[in-house]
Amino acid sequence: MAHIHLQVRDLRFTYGETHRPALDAVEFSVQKGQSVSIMGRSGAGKSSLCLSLRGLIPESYPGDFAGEVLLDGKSILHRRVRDLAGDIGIVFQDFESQLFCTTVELEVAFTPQNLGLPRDEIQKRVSRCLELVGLRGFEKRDPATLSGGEKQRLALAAVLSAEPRLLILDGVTSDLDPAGKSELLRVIGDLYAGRQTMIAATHAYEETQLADAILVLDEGKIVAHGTPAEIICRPRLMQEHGIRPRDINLLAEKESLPNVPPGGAPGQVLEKVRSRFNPLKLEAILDRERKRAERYGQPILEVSGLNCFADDGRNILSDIHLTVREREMLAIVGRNGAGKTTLIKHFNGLLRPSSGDVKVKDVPTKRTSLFELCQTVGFVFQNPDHQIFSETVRKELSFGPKNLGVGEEEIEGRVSEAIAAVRLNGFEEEDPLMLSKGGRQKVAVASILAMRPEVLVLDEPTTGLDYEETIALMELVRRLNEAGHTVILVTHTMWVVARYAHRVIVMDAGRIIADTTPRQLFANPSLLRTAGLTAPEIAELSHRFLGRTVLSHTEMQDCLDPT
Amino acid sequence: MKDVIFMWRDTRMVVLAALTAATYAAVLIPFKVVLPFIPGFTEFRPGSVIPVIFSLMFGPAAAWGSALGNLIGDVYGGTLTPASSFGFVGNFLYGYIPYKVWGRMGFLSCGTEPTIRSGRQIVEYLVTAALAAGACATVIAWGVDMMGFVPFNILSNFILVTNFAVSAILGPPLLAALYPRAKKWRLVHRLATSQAERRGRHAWVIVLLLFVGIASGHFIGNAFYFGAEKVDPGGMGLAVAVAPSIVLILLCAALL
Amino acid sequence: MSEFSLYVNKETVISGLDPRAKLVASMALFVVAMSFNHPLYLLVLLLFEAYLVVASRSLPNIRRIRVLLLLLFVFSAVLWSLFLKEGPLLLRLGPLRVHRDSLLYAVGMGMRLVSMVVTGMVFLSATMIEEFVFALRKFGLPTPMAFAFSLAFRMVSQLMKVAATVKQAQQVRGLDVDAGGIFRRIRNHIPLLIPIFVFSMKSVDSLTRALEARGFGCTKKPTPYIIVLPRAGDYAVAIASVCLAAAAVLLRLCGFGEVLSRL
Repeated sequence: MAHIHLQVRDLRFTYGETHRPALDAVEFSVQKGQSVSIMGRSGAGKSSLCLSLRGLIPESYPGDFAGEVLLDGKSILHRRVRDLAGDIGIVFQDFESQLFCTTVELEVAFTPQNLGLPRDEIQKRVSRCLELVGLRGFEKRDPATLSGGEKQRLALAAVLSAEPRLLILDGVTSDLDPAGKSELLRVIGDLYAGRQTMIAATHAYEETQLADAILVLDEGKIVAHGTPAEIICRPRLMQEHGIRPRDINLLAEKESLPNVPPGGAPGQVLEKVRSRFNPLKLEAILDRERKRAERYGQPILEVSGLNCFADDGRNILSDIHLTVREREMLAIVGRNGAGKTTLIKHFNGLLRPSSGDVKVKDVPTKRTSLFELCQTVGFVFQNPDHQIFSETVRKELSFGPKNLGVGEEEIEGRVSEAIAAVRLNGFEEEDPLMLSKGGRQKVAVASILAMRPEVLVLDEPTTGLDYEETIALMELVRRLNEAGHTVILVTHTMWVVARYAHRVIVMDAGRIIADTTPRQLFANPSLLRTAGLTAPEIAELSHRFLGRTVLSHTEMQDCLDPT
Repeated sequence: MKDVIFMWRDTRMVVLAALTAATYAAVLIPFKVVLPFIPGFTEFRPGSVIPVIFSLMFGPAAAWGSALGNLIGDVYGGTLTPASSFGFVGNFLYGYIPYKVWGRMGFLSCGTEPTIRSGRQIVEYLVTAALAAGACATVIAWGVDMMGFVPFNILSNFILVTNFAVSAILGPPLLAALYPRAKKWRLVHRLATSQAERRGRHAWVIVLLLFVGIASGHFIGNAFYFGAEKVDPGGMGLAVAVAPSIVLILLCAALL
Repeated sequence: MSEFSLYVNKETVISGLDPRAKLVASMALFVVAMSFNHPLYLLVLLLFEAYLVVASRSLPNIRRIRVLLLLLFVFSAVLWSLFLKEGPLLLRLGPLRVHRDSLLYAVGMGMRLVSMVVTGMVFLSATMIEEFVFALRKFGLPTPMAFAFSLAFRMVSQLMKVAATVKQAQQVRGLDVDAGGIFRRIRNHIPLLIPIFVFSMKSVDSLTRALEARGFGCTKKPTPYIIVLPRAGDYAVAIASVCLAAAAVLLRLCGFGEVLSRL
């Protein structure tokens, strides 16, 4: 059995104070040079499994543990976590909390230093690992000044410098923007090629294509185990376990066509349905969209000639012109640093124009206070943890209206209304901090809703949420929009833009480079390239093979004639 | 006293100390409430509540964290002087005394964890905060006066009042909100729970002596400036006269 | 290097010194300042420090805290002249009396305070935080403490960002921290403090496990990565500083540079 590198036997774990097992009879093995992806919804046990393979469970987490983890035939259980650093490396999701040193170089040297390796060996490893992750030339930089993607690559280099036999990646791409994600995935691709033994937990099927096997976890159990081709070609199974399926395979399955494995030719599916594609049906959809646009109300937000200068004189926003009408659903997209967040902070007076004008309901923000503006323009920050402070959900939601001077009785009404809107009924007396990330995000949205703003501005609301949580949140946003709220949304997730936005503003380097619809954006490869965006697969394929842009697999089905 | 040394072997406590320091330094500077009539000087810094409540939750890590955090404030604020060393010791005590005296003050202690759910707990909390603020004020004012920076009476009263007022106003609601969560996240230092039950049979004597040290130091120091026309005959008067009180405070702290 | 760091990123004679030499020299200057309370002697010290400010190019940093320096000086000078009553009476303003020796001492104390802050500032302008921690480590600070110190420095900028975001997030929910009287205004900070504290508390777990996973504490003596060997110039500066400090103490013991017979 010498070729089996990692062996997991009947692993069970239940966190102290809970009853539901986080891991339930998990059993699998990995051969040397192989890699395994672990998939599943948030809370399925992916992280718990990663922690167990690194020995952090049970050492650092109290609870009921049983089972065996063998590395090259030897149990890791009786070794201290710190002593395993040279054997098993782990990179976590949150890149902020795994960097400790003041320069990039010291960060990479940290683990081998702790292992007491000789100094010249450490120096060799530092330069090799920085080369590998593409951070050569960054040696003397402070990690705090790096972008998210660079930080995560640094965290990876810092673990690789110990030359671990087994590398564990626990959701390392979840919090990154698309550019950071693709840089990191390129590096991980090199590791696959170098036959590094790896275990990688992820939400996204795109990241599993190079793996030798995929394990699907649900409620702590392995519910499916197979090659990427076997798993990705089962969109129903993926959906059932809370994983975003590949749209093209959902379509194929609905149309009883063969599924497309990773590396396969997805165009085949479209070729096969081409004869049934009815452009008139798409026209009907477009017509509905035009009618919807005609029903928009008065301009509620008008930006003209807006400039914003940083303290050092740099232009963060230049010459922005934008009008948003009542009941629009607008997405703002673009690279990190393009000025998206700076722009939306002008909408409610958090930032005032350096020059130019921002008008909310015809009143310039220069002449109103933040306090007055927050009653018209509600702003939901990216991370719900930056605002939650109360002991119960109900108290949390009443904070805003109370600040506005709303009477006790009305507050109660507004809070119940907001709770109903985000479907948190039954959670009124729960501690908001103990809810899941998706739940906390809902609380944050509801706490703004309770102030009854007409415009809702959301800054990257789906970051860190899994597929189901993203859908739940976006369906909530859609309902609010249909109920009359104007919605402005900053996001990096293109399938969210495709499915939900009416209109897209594309930003690059502080300017608006396009004001368009999702359909037109995804039909414009050069614009996408300039802005560093990637169209959803189905939109790209339909544009290429049918000459028309279709935004989702459901829309595609609506455009097909029956056989 | 041993726990403040041994904690450095525990990675979690090392991290907790660093985070307490960073939080203290990060919150002290940007958040302050300026008393309207003397801007620039009479400031209440809401951050001053951190050493007391973090101490009650995290134990020794909060002591080191407060000391380090104050030092970082000096480094970033550009006020690194020998006075920083007294700031270090003073803030160490400010974050050290609360978890040490909680549950060990005889009849004043209610024998429960600092969840701030009853009037008795609030009383115990207020006494705790007063002792911590008093020790911090006396030690810093003594050192700073000795170096000729600011007269004892000004600084001792100023630190005592602002630190105590802020901890008294913010501490109870913050502890009520945070303590249960800290417990759920397994951050509460084991002494915080076990000590509450121990009650310390004789510890109250040390706490009483600590109080004597603080009160005497404070009183003698102030008397030098508010007392008779000339109470400073020997030159080194205040530094020497208050020294026994300082020694008593440090000794009690070590014995706790 | 953090954005709050006062380090001036320029090559100067002073910043090029070994951090240990810089630390010793600063200590020596503190001792000199403590040795005298006569304004004339302290003036000489201040002039020397003015030279150091120029040599270390830390003038912009000094300018940044000029209001603080002025306040410290005035504050110290006024308080000491009011609270001490030594020497002949110079001035009587109602209940307030100013005596000659006390006034001199007060001015001296103001100068001492300024001198020390300036010394500290020169040190901070010429020394990276990493160097500072390195020096402390070499002077015997145990490894975990030195680590906590540098980790704390790293976390400050992150927590400052969190603090700023939390403030905005609560402002858009209608929080006005400056509303109401003094007690109310202190209480208004609760919605700001809780999310910041919760952020810290949640970070403990993730930082700890990441640290343990990278072998922190695996050996008692981790391999040193950056080795700085002091050069002859560093020794010279350190020895000269110690001599200077000793000379100052000796002078004072012989009765020079003293207005009042207190520190």
